[in-house]
Amino acid sequence: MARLTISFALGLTALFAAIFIAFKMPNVDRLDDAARVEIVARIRSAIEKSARTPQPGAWESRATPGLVVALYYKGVPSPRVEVHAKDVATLGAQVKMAGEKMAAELVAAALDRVAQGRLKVDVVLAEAPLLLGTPLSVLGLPAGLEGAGIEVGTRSVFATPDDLMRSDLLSAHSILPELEFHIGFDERALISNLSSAASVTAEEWRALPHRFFRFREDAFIEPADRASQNAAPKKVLTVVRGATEGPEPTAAALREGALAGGRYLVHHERSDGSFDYEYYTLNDTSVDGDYSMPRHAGTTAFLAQLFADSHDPAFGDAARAALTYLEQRGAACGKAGFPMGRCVASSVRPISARLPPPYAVDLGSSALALVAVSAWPALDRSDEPNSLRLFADGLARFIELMQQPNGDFLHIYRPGRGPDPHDHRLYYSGEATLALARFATLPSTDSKRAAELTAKVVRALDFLTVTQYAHLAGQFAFGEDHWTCQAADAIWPRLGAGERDRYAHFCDQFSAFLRRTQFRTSDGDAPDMDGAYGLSPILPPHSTPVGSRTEATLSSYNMDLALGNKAEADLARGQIISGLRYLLGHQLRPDNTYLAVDPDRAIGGILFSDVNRYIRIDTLQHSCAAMLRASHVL
Amino acid sequence: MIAFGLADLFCSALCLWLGFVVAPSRSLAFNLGLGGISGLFALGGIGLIMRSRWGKVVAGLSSALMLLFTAVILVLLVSSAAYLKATYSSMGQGMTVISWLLAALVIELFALLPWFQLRFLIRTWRD
Repeated sequence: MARLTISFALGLTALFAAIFIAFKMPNVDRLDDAARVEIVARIRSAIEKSARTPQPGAWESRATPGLVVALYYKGVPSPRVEVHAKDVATLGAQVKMAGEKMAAELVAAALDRVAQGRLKVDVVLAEAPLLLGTPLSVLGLPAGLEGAGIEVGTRSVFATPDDLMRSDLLSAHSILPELEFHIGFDERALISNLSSAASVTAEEWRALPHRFFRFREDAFIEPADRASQNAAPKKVLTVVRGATEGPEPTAAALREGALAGGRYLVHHERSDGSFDYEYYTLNDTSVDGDYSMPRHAGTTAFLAQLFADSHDPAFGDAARAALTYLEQRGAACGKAGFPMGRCVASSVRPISARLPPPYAVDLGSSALALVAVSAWPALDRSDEPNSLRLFADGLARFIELMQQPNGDFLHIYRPGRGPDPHDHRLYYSGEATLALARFATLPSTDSKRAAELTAKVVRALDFLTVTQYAHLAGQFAFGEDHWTCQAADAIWPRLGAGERDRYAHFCDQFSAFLRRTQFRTSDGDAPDMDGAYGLSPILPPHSTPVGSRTEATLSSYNMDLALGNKAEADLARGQIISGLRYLLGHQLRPDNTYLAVDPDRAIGGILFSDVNRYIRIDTLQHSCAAMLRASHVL
Repeated sequence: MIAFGLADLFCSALCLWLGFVVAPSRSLAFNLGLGGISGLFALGGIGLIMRSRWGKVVAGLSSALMLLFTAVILVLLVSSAAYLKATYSSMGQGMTVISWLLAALVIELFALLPWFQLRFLIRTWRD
């Protein structure tokens, strides 16, 4: 029995080693910058048919599986050519062949396409088998980092990471729809795309030897300003998951990032004050879907903050229109024994076809509407119509009505029925706390009312920081408390010493918890994830949590500075800078919009993730608000 | 022998509770398999408590089946861990660790009792 067990354990070890060796991608060195520049220069010279003396280099004799060259113009790679090792073995010869093929394909193309397009080269460095047809197969392709290929008889086809992202098949399986977690590639679509590109018939598939493989590559592209330089390229940009390196998070770069985000929102605001909710950069379309009123309100708050900071009337006009959109959705909400408040109705959640709109009111919409109104710099000015102030007063009353004796809030209000004690949502309690905190600290809120609101904020913070974690699991993990720490920071001037210590300590712990889930360069071979938050490289990081967590950590940093906690402040500062570097790197600039069909409409936006190439308003709300705050603090 | 019999009854009840109450499956095959193995454990447990010969045979069979099930799960987990580590390189370390933890849990939940029971039964048969 014991011998059988030991033999089985040894067998398992051998199985592990065999599978690991079979599927491991070989380690290969990337090209150096000089080689990359020379490769692009040779191909550019070939397609422009210009005389140029090649600069020889050691890279030319390197044996590589192949390369893909494409001329990107308005998001479309055309022409696009492939050269494979079986055509010519060395990289130098492959580059020459690719240049000739590109030149041949461009004969009929418009000249401006050659001049304005950007050459992108994907040098395939190494291959490994791609496992298909098992439940685990969909995780077999590091999203955006590796390409896939097919070989049938003498035919081979590469699908680069860009090709896979353009086909939108890298996040196909929803595991937690509420948290928008999608993993794994669409196996059926991948097989279909590859076999169609290789023009394989079913008969050929059966008759010829064939295999699927994945590959690692070295990808680089001409900079966006190449056309204006009118000279041979002196630099090329490394591309990882469709992104190029962004600016360092200096105060100036952060401020410019926030302004660019604001300009994006101004361009994507519609005549009624709403925004293009999700803008898809790969096909220049916008989708409203379930237009989220809390996200609209949060975005409005950011624009109002940006207007207060920059005094740019374009941001002011956009923020005011977005505020009007919220005001127009205001409704009377109250219950017996409470003064009637104003709430913001979301029109997309009907609870009964028999009830007239608004069907149901969520606390988050009203809370973030109050945050937005409180950020509007003209709120206290005499030239501002009184209606906005009345709207703010009403929103505050509605939020107070929803607060429970334990400090927490009820989240859904049903007109005609009152608050619903059963429906609890993510985020809303923190958002309501922040809203009351911001409203309490407005200069125009009189001292009696401010004291009253402060007491309610403290009750809410006590619930959020203590009561909701008073169980065993609560001693080991945190929920989504980014609004909580912002609320504590906002109400800070009105807090007593004990409360300050308590909330700052909670937010330090919350930041430390987040820090443990922040990717670092030292984690491995995905340096582009540095600064983002996540649990595994299987799930490409989303930008929105980077923004919201950076906002929370900025609040934690502020509180630490105020208390003189230098060690904690230093830790928070490092975490903030990493997050901001990630966000700036993923904000769309001319250099990294080569996949966008209309780069001008995409610039300033921040992608939901590298493999979900759309821009949602709340990603900008959180990310750019963090940039704006950090530009003053760091 | 009575201790193993009681442990088998407990294991049977635990499997039924976990598989039909805590985390019920929609798969008929899984439910049938779980019901079958739980029934075998219960029957073997009663047989061992009664010190009957058929009880030893049924308990031995249920233990062997459970060990086979564990072995299959371990092979799948080890294969997954190796594949993910090969695919995601050092970034796949976390997933590999989770696979090992799951393997440890599977051994603890499904293999320990059958392993000791089978060893005990083999010794009693030899004697």
